[in-house]
Amino acid sequence: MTEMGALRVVEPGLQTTIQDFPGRIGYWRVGIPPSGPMDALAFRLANLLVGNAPGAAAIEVQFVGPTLTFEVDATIALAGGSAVATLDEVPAPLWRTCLARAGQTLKCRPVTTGARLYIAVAGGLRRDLVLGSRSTFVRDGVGGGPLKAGDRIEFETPAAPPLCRRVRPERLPQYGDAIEAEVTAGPHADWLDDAGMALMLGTPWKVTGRSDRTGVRLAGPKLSFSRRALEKAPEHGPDPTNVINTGYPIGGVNLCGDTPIILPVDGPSQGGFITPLVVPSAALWKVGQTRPGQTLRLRAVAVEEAIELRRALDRWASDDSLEPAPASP
Amino acid sequence: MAGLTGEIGTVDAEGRSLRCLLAGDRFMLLEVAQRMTLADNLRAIKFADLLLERKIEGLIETLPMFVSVLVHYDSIVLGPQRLFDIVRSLWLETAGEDDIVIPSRLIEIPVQYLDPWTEECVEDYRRTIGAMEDNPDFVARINGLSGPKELVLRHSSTQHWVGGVGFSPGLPDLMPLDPRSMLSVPKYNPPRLWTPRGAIGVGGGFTSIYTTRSPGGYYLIGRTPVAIYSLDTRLGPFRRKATLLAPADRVKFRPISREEHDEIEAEMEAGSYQYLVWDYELFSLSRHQKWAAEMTELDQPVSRRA
Repeated sequence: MTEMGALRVVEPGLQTTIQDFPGRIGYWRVGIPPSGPMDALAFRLANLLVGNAPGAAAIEVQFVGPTLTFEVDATIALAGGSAVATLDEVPAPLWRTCLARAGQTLKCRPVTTGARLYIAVAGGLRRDLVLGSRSTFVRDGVGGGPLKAGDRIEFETPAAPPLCRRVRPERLPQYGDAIEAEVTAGPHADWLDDAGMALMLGTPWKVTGRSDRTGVRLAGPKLSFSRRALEKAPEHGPDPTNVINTGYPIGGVNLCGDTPIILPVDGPSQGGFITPLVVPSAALWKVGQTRPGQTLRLRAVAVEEAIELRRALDRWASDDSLEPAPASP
Repeated sequence: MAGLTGEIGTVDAEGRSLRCLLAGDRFMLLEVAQRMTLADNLRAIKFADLLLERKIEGLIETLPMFVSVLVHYDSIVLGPQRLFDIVRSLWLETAGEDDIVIPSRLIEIPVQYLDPWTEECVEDYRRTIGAMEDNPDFVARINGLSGPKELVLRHSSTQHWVGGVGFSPGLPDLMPLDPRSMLSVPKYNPPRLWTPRGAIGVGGGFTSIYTTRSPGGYYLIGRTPVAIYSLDTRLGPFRRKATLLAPADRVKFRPISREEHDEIEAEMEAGSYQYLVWDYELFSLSRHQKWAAEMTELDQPVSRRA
């Protein structure tokens, strides 16, 4: 048997996890979330750069990155929120392949634009499949926990000849200060009145610090409700935003009293609050790159447009977005 | 943005209407009813199962929850309009039936009622958050029961219906099937910051089992040493999936002593505990409704009986 390459975790960073895409599918009915990357666009591009399948297991960094050492030569790619990363003090640029030599140390400084950075390694990362996926659901320990200092992570397949390519400059995702995410009408859109919905769609919402992979919380104005919310059967509950417990769509903009919470890939599967809007699959990566304090605007699109956006995103997250790069730094 | 709505259509079948609502590009929510009844819960669970059984290409899974069904689908393979058409014809085909009969497993869960772990949790709430009456005393009192002993008898003598599962992995919402065991309980305000794993809580008209150590708001009346969510594949129910309970299961809580609690906990740790699951039973709505009406009658004080 060929000796597999591996990397070692020197410093784990804030909450660094292994994820795959599309994650753990088919367990939503019993409350197990898909997990997977918060930004599935950057994640897939990172994997494609190093020649992996787009959904192969790779590392997700949140805000504060890890320090990793490589036991063998490995082609790696960093993609996502901007952060200064170095391989033995030499800058390792994002959005292109880099060659990490055996013994070299990759250091990731904090993410300064966007929130999450992905590190893909040619060959993918080895992890036992749990319920069909290598993704990590930190809160309930599915697929293990966040990376710890001293962890040794093997590669899934042996090293291939190194690649040298990058994401075409016009295909680089932008993670600005003010983010606009598309939304479609949710199942409870008509629980808001016209003024309430206009406010929901017109407000530059502030992303709050109480945001993580289970929910991105927004702060903004108080909303107003329609008769559906105000004159409903008592078993829905006392608040206008209460509803008889119901399944939650991934990407749902849940309204808990005055707080909209976008439910991303580690969110709850059901609950007793309304979902007036839904961030469709093609726009969820933007939410995954929001930072506390940033503003987020919601722009309504029809479901047909959301499906077209999904096709466009799948083209974006493909080899079409890559080109040969000048030699590795 | 006036008139923004997720509604794609409503299907009427002999007075039973199904409201179909778009929920983004990969989910559709089907509202079976606007009120909460056991009959409509059964209808939602059965419809979720029927949709899955059709093996429709592009349909990923269905999630029944109380009186609605969330459908997870791939809109690139199965467009929302086509999904709606399939849902419509299936509802027209099946919603007319008055009785509902569905497979329903019976699962025994041993519980040490009035246990020291939830008492310690309530004590910690008093120390760190605020005043809190002894939970079983309080639940018994506001439900007109003589005390915790009668509460335990009522809670453990009924089968509990799993009306939905989720929020977190495997977390069940249970409703008593015996109307004499119905409770009405408020929730903690403010909520607890932690609850012991396995705690049995009551809130609203429901019972839940805390699958992990987690925050919560239900009043606590006992603890089970057995896992209902686990990644330990040595244990029978968790060999192929991580959760014990599914919608339309029935749970029977069996009161156990401290000694038995500790024995079962040791078996759990050794991976040798044998869950009791009866997997061959059917549940009939009409037969239950007839029985429940008789039980309600029995529970009336003698002077009020016909």
